[in-house]
Amino acid sequence: MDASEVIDSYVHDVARRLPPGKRNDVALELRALLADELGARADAEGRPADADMAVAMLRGFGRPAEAAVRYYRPFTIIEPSDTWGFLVATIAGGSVISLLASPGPGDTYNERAQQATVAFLGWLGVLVIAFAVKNLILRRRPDAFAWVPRPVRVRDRASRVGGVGLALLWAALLVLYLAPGRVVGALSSGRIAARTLAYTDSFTGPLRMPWLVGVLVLAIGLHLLVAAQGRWRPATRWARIALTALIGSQLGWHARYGSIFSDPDVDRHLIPVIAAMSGLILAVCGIELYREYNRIRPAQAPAPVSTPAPTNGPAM
Amino acid sequence: MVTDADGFGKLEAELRRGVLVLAVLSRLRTPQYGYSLRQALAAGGMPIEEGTLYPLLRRLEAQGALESSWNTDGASPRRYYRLSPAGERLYQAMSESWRRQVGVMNTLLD
Repeated sequence: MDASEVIDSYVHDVARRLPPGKRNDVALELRALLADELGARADAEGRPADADMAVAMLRGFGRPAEAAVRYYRPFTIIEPSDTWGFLVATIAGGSVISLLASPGPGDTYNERAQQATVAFLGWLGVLVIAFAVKNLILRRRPDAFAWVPRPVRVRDRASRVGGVGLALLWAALLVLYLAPGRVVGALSSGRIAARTLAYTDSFTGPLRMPWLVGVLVLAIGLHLLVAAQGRWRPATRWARIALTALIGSQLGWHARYGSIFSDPDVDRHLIPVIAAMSGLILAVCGIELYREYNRIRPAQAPAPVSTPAPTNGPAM
Repeated sequence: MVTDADGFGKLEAELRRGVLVLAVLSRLRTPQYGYSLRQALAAGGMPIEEGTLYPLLRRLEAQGALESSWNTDGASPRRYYRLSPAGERLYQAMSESWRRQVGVMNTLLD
């Protein structure tokens, strides 16, 4: 290739990225300008222009895609400013899909994994289309989707009644966990026999059941502590996230690792429920972790401080 | 903290970017084509990359500040740009604004 062909190649690569109405005009002007630039460079170096010189000059001009963007701002499916929102929506949707895809009775893991993969790809497609439509609307009506002020929720306040209530709820769950047969038997006035919900020896052994008991006791203690303090502090917030993760993962472990109840029929019906609870608790843990990561300090404006009146002219 | 030469270079480029349009308008009271305009700006102490200048010319033309016409008399066709009547008014307004800002900055820097 000679220098002129190199320029033609570059101009072609730039122009084909432009709208049809602009291509020929930009190409004609760009070719003339680049030829002038190359001629000046050849004069400065005291030798005739060649392909290498043209390539070096054009690389300084930028990749054709970059040069084309300077002439025409193309339609962007996902704007850089939307990247975070897109990622959050992708991860949130993916988490919900994984939760819903937990294998139920009679399902094989592979079938569920295939369904979850297809659903996730579908979700990605929906997101891409939704963001593209939003950006198309914004391109035509820049004032669309205007920002609207919303009150910032202060989540650190903890009422004493609410804290004690949550501690009691966890305590009730702990009792149910420790003796499900007796609790359900009492609640059903004896219609469901306590032995129906008896645990296997393997489950009550040292490697499975006692760990969650310990975690639930810690959760009860945490809620009582926060109720006494009247607010969530960084240490208690992180402890809540850790305990939520532990409870979710313990339940998931129970659902995945061997039988829980002596009666196989009870196992068959309740293990999917325990698995779903595990997924739900882990999803809540994910939301709490996300909120902690996005926490802005201070959440509220500090108390107003008196300042001297400005003496300068209007701001520029 | 910006202390190195690279940091200064970026900030200086940002400063120059703000006055680029005014510099270009100032040279287009007489018709110029892209390369000759770049030379004229460089000769006046305002070198500018071709990749920045040429799209800027088209943007100013699309905004109505410049007019252009093709000259096909020479060996290669060239597009000449010059200020449109609206561009003349824009240039006057921007020149006055620039002088005011220089005055303000001189006061601040003294």
